[in-house]
Amino acid sequence: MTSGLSRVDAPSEVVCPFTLRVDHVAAMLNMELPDHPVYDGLELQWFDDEDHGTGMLFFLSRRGSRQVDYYVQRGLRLDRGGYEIGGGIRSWNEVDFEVARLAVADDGVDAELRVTDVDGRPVELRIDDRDGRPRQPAGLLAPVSAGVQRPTSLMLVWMPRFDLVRNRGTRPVVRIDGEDVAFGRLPGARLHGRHLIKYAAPLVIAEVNRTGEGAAGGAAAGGEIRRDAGGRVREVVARRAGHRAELRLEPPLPVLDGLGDGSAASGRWHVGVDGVRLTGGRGRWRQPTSTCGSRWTSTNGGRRDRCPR
Amino acid sequence: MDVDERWAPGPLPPLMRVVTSLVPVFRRWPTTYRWRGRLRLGPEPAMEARWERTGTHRGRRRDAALFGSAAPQVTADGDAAPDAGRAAAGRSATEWVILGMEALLAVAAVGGGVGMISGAVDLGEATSRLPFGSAAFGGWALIAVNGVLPAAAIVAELRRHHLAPYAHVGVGNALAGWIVVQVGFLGWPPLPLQWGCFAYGLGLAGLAGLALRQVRGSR
Repeated sequence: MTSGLSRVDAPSEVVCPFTLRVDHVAAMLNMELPDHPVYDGLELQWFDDEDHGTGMLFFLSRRGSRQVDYYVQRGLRLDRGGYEIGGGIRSWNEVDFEVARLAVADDGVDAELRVTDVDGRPVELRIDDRDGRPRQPAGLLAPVSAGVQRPTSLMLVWMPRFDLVRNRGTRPVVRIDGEDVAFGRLPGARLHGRHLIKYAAPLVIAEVNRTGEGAAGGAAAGGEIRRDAGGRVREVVARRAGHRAELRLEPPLPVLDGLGDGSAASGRWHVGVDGVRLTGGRGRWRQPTSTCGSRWTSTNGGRRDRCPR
Repeated sequence: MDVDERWAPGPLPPLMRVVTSLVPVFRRWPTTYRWRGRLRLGPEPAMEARWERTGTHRGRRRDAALFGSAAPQVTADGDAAPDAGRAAAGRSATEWVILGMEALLAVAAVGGGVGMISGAVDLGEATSRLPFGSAAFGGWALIAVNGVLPAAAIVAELRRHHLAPYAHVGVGNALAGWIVVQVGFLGWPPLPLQWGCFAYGLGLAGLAGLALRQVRGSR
């Protein structure tokens, strides 16, 4: 249930235990494939920014093993380590798609893809639910992290414009190896008129305290630590491609070096993306009475500390 | 740091409002995270830290599949989440049967109870053997025990409450117990309908027990 402890050395002049990262994907579309014998889901991600480049990432997860085959448009710059989902990476393939398009408009989504999978099967997808009528997408915090048992960060995937593909008009086509593939269905589709095909544009991903990023704090991860006049950490801010994530502390985090033995402080914190508050909680920072010879500050939620071994 | 703040959705279209209300994992999942860290100060500061899941997410993980990534989510080190397979599958056939039986029971109980309260259902001389000699009292009791209880169990199941499997067992046993008490008041031998309801209750309790064992086995 827990990730392994990570240990990071850091310069003493910047003591902040918080890190914050932000990343983004221009557009996403995914679906489950409940009946296909090989694959149980697919996802398209479209990138269009200076950091990643422009192009498509397409992936298929395999039934049973949960392993994922990734198809990355040649020239895209992606952090492969960020895709250790499912049963892990089965294959990571740089490809030239025959067709690769994912565009989210005010009146729907237009997606098309043609590629050959690692086993030689042609994969074809065509979805276009645009009908000229403006949609009303909504903000949704994706429950992606709900299934992670041993998390390495608090990863918040914010989809400020999320919607489902409409089932009126052109029927979505998914073909693998020349055969039509069924996708997941929502109950009452005739009533609400939606397929269980999800799309969003953009995705903004905020990561709090990724394991391995340590005492240097937000600055180490590209974030900016903001302090009040007393040197207390007020917030950590991260920016990327026009998006802004913030971790705000109320009251500000005490100067940890200044906490006396046995003293404690507590407060609230919250994380927001582009001005939308997503979640938060309480924190407790404590300098345990130490007879161990080492000075430790802990944020252990009130548990009694043991001396480090 | 403990995460104790649920995600609070802004304005949502009706369908998404229903989904995020009925499937609480959408709002609650962040509260299953907490962070523990130790920062050693001094000339060479160092930090030991980790994120943990609190365990309260059990039984709800499968709901994430509805709007989560197409790729099943698992551990950071690549281990498959134990319930990942069930995540895609949704509810088991047993759970659907239980839900159907409870829905039928609730509808029948409310219908019968309303009939007794309104007088549309005439129990004849048996009314005098009911508590307080009141058909209305019997009707309200019927609605409370065999209408409200199954309805609550259905809601709990739809919301993936961790007590839902126990509630299903309770519903089945409550129906069987209801018949025993009823026969105590109305006298032996039971009517065919009472035998049928008794068997229905035991059957429901048995299925619920089976589902409970499956849930326990998966944890």
